[in-house]
Amino acid sequence: MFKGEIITSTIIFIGSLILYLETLKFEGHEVYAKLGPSYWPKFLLILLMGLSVGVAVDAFRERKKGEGKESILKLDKGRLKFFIAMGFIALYFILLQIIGFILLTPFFLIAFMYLLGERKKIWMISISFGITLLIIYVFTKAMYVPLPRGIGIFLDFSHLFY
Amino acid sequence: MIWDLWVGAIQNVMNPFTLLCIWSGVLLGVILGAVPGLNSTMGTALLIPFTFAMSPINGLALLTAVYCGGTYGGSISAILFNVPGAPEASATVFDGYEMAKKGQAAQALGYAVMCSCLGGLFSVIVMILVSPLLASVALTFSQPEYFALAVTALTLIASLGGRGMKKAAISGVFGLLMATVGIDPMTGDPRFTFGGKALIGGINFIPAIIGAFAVGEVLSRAESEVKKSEVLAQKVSTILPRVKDILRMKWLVLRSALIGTWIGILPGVGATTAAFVGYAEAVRWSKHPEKFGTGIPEGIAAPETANNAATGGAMVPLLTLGIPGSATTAVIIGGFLVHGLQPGPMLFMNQPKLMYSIFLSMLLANILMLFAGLGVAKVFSNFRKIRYSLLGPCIFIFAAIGSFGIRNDPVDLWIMFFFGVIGYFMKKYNYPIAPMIIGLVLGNLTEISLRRGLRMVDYDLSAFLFRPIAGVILGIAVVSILYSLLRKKPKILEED
Repeated sequence: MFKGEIITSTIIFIGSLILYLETLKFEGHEVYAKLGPSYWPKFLLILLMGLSVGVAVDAFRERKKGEGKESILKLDKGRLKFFIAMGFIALYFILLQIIGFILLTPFFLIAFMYLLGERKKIWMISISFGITLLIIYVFTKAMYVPLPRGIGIFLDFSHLFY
Repeated sequence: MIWDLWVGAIQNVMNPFTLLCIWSGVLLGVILGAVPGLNSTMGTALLIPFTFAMSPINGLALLTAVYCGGTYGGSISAILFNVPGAPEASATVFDGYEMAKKGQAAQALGYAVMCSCLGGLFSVIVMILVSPLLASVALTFSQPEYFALAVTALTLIASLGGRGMKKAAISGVFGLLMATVGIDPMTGDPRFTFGGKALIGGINFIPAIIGAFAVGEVLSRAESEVKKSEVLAQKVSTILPRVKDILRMKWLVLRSALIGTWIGILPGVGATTAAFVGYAEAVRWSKHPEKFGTGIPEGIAAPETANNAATGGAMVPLLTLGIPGSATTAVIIGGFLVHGLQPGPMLFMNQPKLMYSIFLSMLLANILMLFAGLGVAKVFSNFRKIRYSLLGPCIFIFAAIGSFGIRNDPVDLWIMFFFGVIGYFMKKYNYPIAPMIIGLVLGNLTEISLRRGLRMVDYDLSAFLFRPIAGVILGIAVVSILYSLLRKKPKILEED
């Protein structure tokens, strides 16, 4: 875990530093409040930077005791599946605004089920379409939540249902 | 005089139609609470037009019953699926899901429903007895007192700390930082929006919670290869705790009920904060704080008692002063207004029988919740028999729609995704998730009460200590941090 600890601490430190530089843009409205909009975030970011250094120091101490030497860069099957799952989700969210909920969701569900190891087609298809229709009915008809309808021809198709 | 009022209330409430209203309200509330993305606030808002055709007592009994049921319902999906069905149940996830993983889902559901019922009943009794007095004390709370309250709640991070304190603190500070995203409420400046409009409304903590817990879990499962035959658990029927089990944790339940009722009374801080503070205090007072987060009944009893106790608490300022104590009670005001009633002190004088009828219907709602909870939990527990390879994607879709449904904004989907990935890596590198959620929930209250409070006292922080209530609360916070540092580290922050 040593490398992982150092990498995460470094990411937290650099991320905090970048956000700290961003807070410098908040200045200028102290006329409304002496403690301006950057006061609290700056305090938190300094705290984060200090704590990330502390975690890195702890990791070095642990290392001296001879703990953890695993590689975190190895791309095994599990990690590949994790990245594919992330890709699936990101793609689903992007396409949701274009294709709409009703047409996209069943296929996303089937693909995700397959990724998680499901192979029984009947279950995959029936649950995917069943859940999609249930959600559409409950959320759009009963609760008036406007689920994404997509654009163009997909919009016209979605209008047939909700 | 008071007996006449109670007799009148019994006459009003104990008729088939009113009882049906209360029962359907509770049942609907529990279902709404259990489904992520639907909640009692939405439910009461949608029901207001229907109450127009009813008598005021029937309409208000229905709305308050939805409110009581909804606050409990969230715990069902929190326990069974690691997805809080409503924000009030966020703290229930910590121990509820862990108990379910150990095969004790039935007991966990039993503790949740029983403690919700007890918390709710306690707060309604408090509401009946001392509502005007409590409301007047709550009105003396100003920004320094709110800041002190928020700091005390944040000390949960320390009380759950120990050896992994730095990582817990990073997680908590990250949550506080995420709460600053969006428009600064004091100056109107956009913060961390990077010139775009997407984050201008800030980060809603519900998609963040759903992401960190549910999506993080789905991603972890994807990586760890779901076994084809894996079944989460067999059919679960709620097992109510025995009387001696409840008596064993009587002080915890009483303390959580008091905390929940009190926080509910404070305007602007609702059942979610109550649940977290209730949980924090349970950890702080426990002889075995290290067991919290590993799946123990106390970890469910505390937040569930506190969040339902906040329902009665939040009704106090509504009924006595006309000020809502929470989002749902703000909607319930609409229920009064459609009948031409203005909640407040005058209503107590002009329509005392109506007020006592509301008290009685809330008492009944909390008792009926026990039965509605048993039924709904049984239906939801059937879903656990499904293989994770089928259930996981369905949980994800409900989580996504739950996040989207809050503001109907696609940005919330990305916030959920972001926190899902963050949650996954936090879990992997032993950064506890709970402090991040606590920071996110309390961040806004902490910052705003600090900045406004400092302006009130001419930017002298030490002045906070000389205000009697704020000083005492801050003193308790400091003592509890020091005390917590000397105690053992709970499991929740090791492997959460």
